[in-house]
Amino acid sequence: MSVLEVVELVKHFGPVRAVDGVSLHIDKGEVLGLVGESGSGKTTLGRCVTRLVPVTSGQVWVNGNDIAHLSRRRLRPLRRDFNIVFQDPSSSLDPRMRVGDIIAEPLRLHRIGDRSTRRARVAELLGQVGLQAEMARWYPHELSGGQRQRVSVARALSAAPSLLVADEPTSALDVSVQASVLNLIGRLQAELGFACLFVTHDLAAVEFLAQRVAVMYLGVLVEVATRDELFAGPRHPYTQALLSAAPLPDPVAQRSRQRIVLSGEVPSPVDPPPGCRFHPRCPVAIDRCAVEVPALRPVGPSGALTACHLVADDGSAPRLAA
Amino acid sequence: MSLLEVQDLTVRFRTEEGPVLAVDEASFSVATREVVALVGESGCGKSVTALALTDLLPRNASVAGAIQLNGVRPSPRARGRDIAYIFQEPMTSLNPVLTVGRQIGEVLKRHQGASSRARIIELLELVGIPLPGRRIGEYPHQLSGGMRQRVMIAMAVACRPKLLVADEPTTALDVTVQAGILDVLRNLRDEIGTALLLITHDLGVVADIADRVVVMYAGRVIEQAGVHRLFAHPTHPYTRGLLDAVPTPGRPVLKEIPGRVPVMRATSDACTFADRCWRVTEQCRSVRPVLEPGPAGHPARCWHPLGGKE
Ligand SMILES: Nc1ncnc2c1ncn2[C@@H]1O[C@H](COP(=O)(O)OP(=O)(O)OP(=O)(O)O)[C@@H](O)[C@H]1O
Ligand SMILES: Nc1ncnc2c1ncn2[C@@H]1O[C@H](COP(=O)(O)OP(=O)(O)OP(=O)(O)O)[C@@H](O)[C@H]1O
Ligand code: SF4
Ligand code: SF4
Ligand SMILES: [Mg+2]
Ligand SMILES: [Mg+2]
Repeated sequence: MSVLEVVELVKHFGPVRAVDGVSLHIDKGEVLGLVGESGSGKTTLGRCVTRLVPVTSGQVWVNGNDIAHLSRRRLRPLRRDFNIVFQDPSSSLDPRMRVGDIIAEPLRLHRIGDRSTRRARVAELLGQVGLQAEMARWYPHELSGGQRQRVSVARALSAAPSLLVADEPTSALDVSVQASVLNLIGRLQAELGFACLFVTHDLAAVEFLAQRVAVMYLGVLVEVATRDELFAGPRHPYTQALLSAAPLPDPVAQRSRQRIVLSGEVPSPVDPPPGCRFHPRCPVAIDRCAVEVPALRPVGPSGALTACHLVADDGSAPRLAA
Repeated sequence: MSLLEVQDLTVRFRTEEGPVLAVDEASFSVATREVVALVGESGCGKSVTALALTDLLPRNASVAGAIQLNGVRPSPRARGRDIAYIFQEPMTSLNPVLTVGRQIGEVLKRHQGASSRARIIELLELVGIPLPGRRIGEYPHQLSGGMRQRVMIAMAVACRPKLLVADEPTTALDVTVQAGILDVLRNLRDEIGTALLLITHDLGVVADIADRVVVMYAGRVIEQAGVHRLFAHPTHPYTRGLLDAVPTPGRPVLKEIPGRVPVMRATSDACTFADRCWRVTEQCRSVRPVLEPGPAGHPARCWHPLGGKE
């Protein structure tokens, strides 16, 4: 069963159509990677799903409850089911609180356990994220960036949520620290079985951690496929350009690749282009693309989803030349 | 002869918490038309090295060592003309109230005494800005992050510097935009012969564009080699650790480098990587390793380099 089911989610900030009709689901124990151009609405989607911002319209089902439009009071008891980890651990941790209190915050909020069981839970969580028990008494500024991000992960998981949203959790970290946080999320996810929406612009990290990948462009999803299918044969022209632009850390492989360089600018989400939102930059666009919105529909034998007029029902797609 | 020769560059800062040794006898060179990548984790001294080359360090810094351009010690004026610097965040270094054309024009006037609309348009074309005739009258906030970075590059190369020092020029950008900027940098080398010292922590970018790589750790240069050699035969354990930490498909668990970069207060008689290294011996903790050719033939600063007899 799906832990998260998002249906036709819309979030507008005044005239800004940040998320403009997104549907997706994440199963128990699954990591869904969410990638896309900067400003395409990934963070906004993550914040809607965790109800950190009010939703304009649509449904957000978490474990069978639609939380999209619940009042604060009705939402409160359901909040223990989901939590979020942000990009910048320095600004998301209260500098005046001790690490132990930060981690125990969701437990206090949801009145889970008493003081001594909470203390035991904090010690257990510190162990799970690879920190020493004595660090419960430390303050965030006494920790490194990677250690702070471990504290954020421990806090997000302390009430044992069934859904974790991780918004660029490794982007502010060095590669060596990134590796440890990715390992941590991967290991905990396998052990604890929560569903995870992993937002990032690091395609290598997605390939490492996610089982399925959703690609967002200007407020809408343009492709959703299993990791292996997506990386082996991206179908949507934007996905093809995106994958071809991410440089591989291997000079031989990287220098023998054909890169697709997109022309033009990412249009404004205030006034997205009609038809296919990618059409002004799409190297293979046809007349129809400027007038008719391509539906996100299943293609090919696996049921991967693509929103492109030129992708056939059997899944065959136009190959972009460099 | 190299275009740029840096010999034993050392940079110290005076701070309230005591001295910081940010760069510790770093030596490297950049040849004409060469693209050299300077890599290492946060705090290893990459930006401080770049700022020292361009004479942009704050006043609490003291600098020692020698910098030569084409075999001579450059005058401050020659340095300003021949070495240009671009920052990571273009918005903070562009003036928000002046048009793009005006800002490029000022640079031209300052260094060459004159500027013309034709020359500004030529520069905008060089960095791949579409419709340069229109862009010339726009303000920075009207441009996307990628376009702003192109404007920064146009300003930096306006006076045909011999060396462009670019500090994380694409880190804040999407990969699709980054690809275009890397093309611009490659183009500059091909068309006007600018050499590039590129600071980055993205090993994909290094693999894409660098001819040679200089790896820094805790203020020291710990390995340098041609890009193919470095990726194929890293000999310093830190370099190996950096390469192994990159997420790789099919690898169930990523390799981590335990610990973190130390803040150096003073130079030490040990390998600065000793506390994080799995090959550490007593010798590493008591004798400072020297940068010398290792088993793969290129220099590494390690007593027990990889790739030799194990
Ligand atoms: N609070 C807000 N008020 C107004 N506009 C907003 C707000 N938050 C986001 N936006 C706008 O919504 C759009 C989507 O932003 P969002 O942060 O969700 O993108 P993103 O995909 O996470 O980008 P990035 O990769 O840069 O993090 C952008 O145009 C952004 O400027
Ligand atoms: N103005 C300054 N005063 C005191 N210390 C400084 C100053 N600038 C840099 N440092 C210190 O010098 C060391 C090297 O810093 P530098 O900015 O060169 O690192 P970097 O390799 O560029 O890292 P990053 O990848 O984070 O940009 C760090 O320990 C830093 O704290
Ligand atoms: S629908 Fe048309 S414009 Fe959109 S991605 Fe497909 S071919 Fe390109
Ligand atoms: S000198 Fe010793 S501690 Fe330093 S990197 Fe080499 S083996 Fe490791
Ligand atoms: Mg975001
Ligand atoms: Mg720096």
